[in-house]
Amino acid sequence: SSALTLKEALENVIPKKRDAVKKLKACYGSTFVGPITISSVLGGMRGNQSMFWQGTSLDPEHGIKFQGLTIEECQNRLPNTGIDGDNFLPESMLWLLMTGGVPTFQQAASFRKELAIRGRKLPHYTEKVLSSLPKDMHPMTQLAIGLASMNKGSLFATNYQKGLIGKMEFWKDTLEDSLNLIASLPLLTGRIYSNITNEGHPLGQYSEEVDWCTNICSLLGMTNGTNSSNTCNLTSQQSLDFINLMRLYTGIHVDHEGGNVSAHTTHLVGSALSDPYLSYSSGIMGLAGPLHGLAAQEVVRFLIEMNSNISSIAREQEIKDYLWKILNSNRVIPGYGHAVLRKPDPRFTAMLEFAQKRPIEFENDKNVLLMQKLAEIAPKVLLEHGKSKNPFPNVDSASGILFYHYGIRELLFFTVIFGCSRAMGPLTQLVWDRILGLPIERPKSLNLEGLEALTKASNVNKL
Amino acid sequence: SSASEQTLKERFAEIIPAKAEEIKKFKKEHGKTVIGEVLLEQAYGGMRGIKGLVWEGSVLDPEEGIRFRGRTIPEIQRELPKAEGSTEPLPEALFWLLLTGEIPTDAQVKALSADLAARSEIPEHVIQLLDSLPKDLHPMAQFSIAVTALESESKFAKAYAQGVSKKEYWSYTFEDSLDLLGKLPVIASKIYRNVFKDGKITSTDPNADYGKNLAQLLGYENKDFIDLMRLYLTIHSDHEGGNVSAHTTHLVGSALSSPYLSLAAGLNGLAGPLHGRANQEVLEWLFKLREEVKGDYSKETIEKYLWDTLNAGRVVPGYGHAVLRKTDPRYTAQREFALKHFPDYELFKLVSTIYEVAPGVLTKHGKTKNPWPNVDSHSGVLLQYYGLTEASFYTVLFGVARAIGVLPQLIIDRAVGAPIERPKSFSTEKYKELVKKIESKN
Repeated sequence: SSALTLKEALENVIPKKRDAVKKLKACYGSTFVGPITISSVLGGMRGNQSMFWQGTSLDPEHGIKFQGLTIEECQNRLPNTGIDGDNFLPESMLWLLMTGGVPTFQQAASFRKELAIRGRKLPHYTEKVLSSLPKDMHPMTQLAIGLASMNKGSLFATNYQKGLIGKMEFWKDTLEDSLNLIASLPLLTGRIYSNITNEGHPLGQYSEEVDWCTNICSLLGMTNGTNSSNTCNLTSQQSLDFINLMRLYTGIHVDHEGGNVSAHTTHLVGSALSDPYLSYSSGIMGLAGPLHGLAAQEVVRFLIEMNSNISSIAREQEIKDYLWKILNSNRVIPGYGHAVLRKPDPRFTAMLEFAQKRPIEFENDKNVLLMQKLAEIAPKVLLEHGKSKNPFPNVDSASGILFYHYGIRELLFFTVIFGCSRAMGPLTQLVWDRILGLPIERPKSLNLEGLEALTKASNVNKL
Repeated sequence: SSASEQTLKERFAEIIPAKAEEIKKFKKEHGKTVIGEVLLEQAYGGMRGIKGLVWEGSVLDPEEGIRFRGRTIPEIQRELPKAEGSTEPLPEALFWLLLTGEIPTDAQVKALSADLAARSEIPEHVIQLLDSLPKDLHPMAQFSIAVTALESESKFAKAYAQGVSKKEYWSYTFEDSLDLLGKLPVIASKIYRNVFKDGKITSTDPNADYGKNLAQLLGYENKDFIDLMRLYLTIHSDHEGGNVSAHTTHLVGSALSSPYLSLAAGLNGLAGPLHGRANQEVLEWLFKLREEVKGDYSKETIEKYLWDTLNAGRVVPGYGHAVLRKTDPRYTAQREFALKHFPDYELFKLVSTIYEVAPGVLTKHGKTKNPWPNVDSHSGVLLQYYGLTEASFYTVLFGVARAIGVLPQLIIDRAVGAPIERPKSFSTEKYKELVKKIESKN
């Protein structure tokens, strides 16, 4: 299409989409799509096929697809800046998630500019709040607080309260809030990083002339240029590589279906018509959970510890012995396996390729080299061990150690970067929930006695 | 120790091994039993009707309303220990019931009250944070922010980072939950005093019960208002696990976030207009109605107003419910409180007349599955009577109450090793593919 802005592009696709959902419900609304078993209720809705989520689909064999496109297809088709990188811009991915279509180069450039303008300044009250926080407060806690404070500026909350907007118009203010939120993340995260590493003193400055990820990197003090303190003394090439690592990482972590805790929480809170800021702040609280967002740092710790316990990465048998020792003590190898995936995670593959394309940069980094070696050896060991449904590496196997390589040493902060990226998928869905007028989420709960009673019903059957 | 001296933690520790074993056995024997199905319209319809969650504290029956560990509201009003001279149940006694399934003794509740009061101190950085927030930031956003900031105090988060055994998760979750409950009245009151009054708060009284402390911290000494707080906290606490605030707390907690982050996320859901802010909307609607009928509270006038509202395409707020199909017993409990303490109060008379008229009008209108009032119909009016007129604060009180209802399940989840929650999602294209495949088989 020829739409210049994301909003225009959305307005172009909305009528057809509303109609498609309406027809699907009319024709197939009463169709059975899956069973509910005792196991699924006791087991965290595992296997419960009960959520609508438009942006991504996760296939156990092929991995993630973003509006039908694989990571490889995204890398080939989504626009990059055209001047300083091989990876697509996350802004292009956001456009794809929202509209279902690949933006033109011009649309992507225009959208990059739009987001950069939206994000140029944090509300003064948010800055004040972040200033008042203890510098050693967990960065995810700081992020959740900063986002919740932005509720004051929510157009949706304000206009809903005034009763000025009809239900089928809710999506417009939700879109405004969502884009403003995503745009604010470079300054928010930069502020938090400076809080925990630099006594709150800024590490860089914001620019409207660069893309979202370049701003994130500059504000972390991680670019070689006038906008940043370049705390780790990166060369120009390293700076560019780090920006592209950030684009890659944030581009592929945007969404992973709707059932993961951060996405589901954002959707659930938003279904009560909470605004995007409160909704995503809640999602961040879920992402902060050890079982959800902390895997990348566990891998980093694991790689460092393993390297200090083996004599050489070249000694395969020693590596195997180390892995067996872990498995035999009932521990897991972090970064391997996945709840849904049954093949190598394409997100891992993309991160691995990033490293493989830069052999000189990583040739002396024992941790990155070990990460690559493990990708060859660990699956064989896990297969032989026989207890894993998926012996392959997932994205966490590579992502944290690459950030660590360039100088992000605050492991707790990895999840904040994850949080920047993850904003895009759930907030896109929140906009679409409003477009489609979807209702509050409210499943039924039962106590154990109630569940037991159901198993005694005369018409009971088993899978 | 003797039974009457047993603390809540001791009693829970005694109960939980058998409960965990029961669940394990049940899952092994009946795991594959199908107890329901998902229809496509439910996946787009917010999981309405899908059996998805285990929730021990309460079960909601469409006809009978809520039961807390098998007991109706009138039953808990009779059975739960009360403060001396009071006719309303103590909310901390309900907390004990929700966690253990048992009614505590007077001595046990008194000890729990004292324990909660002893945990009420707020870290200085949270006070500073609350003071740094803009006065016009919604009280619920402030409440969630403060609870989030308490994460730095989390004993669970610290223990988890140090590699504590999974069997001990519940113990740290218990401590965090009681610390959090102890601090909520102070936080709520600090927000109230900051936004609407002079910003100053008094201290928690170590000898007062939870509801009394909340009332006094807010700045209200009236004996009946204190009793109202006890009732309010009790009946707003739990309403099974599928509502947005309870479900969010459970969902975030299932990733092993601390009780602080889990509840803070739940509060953000409670802040949603369709969930915990409904009581505010009812009150605004009542004021508008009162203004338009100019003192004429006759049934005929009210009936006409209701029809005008419905014919304009708007809803009657405070009526209907996602699950309930009769008058919400929480509404009834509040109505009885009003009849006892201020039967002649103007707003109560208005609510009462609406209650006489609305079910008939809504039934005749024919578009609602439930023409009966829910809890939100009444809660604002009771608070107004005692002078707590700041409606945007009401959801914060609801949040304090809701914490009493949701934290027990979080503790139980950690004790029985409940897994992360992760339902499966599909896009419209995938659902289309799926239903066509299914239909072609039939």
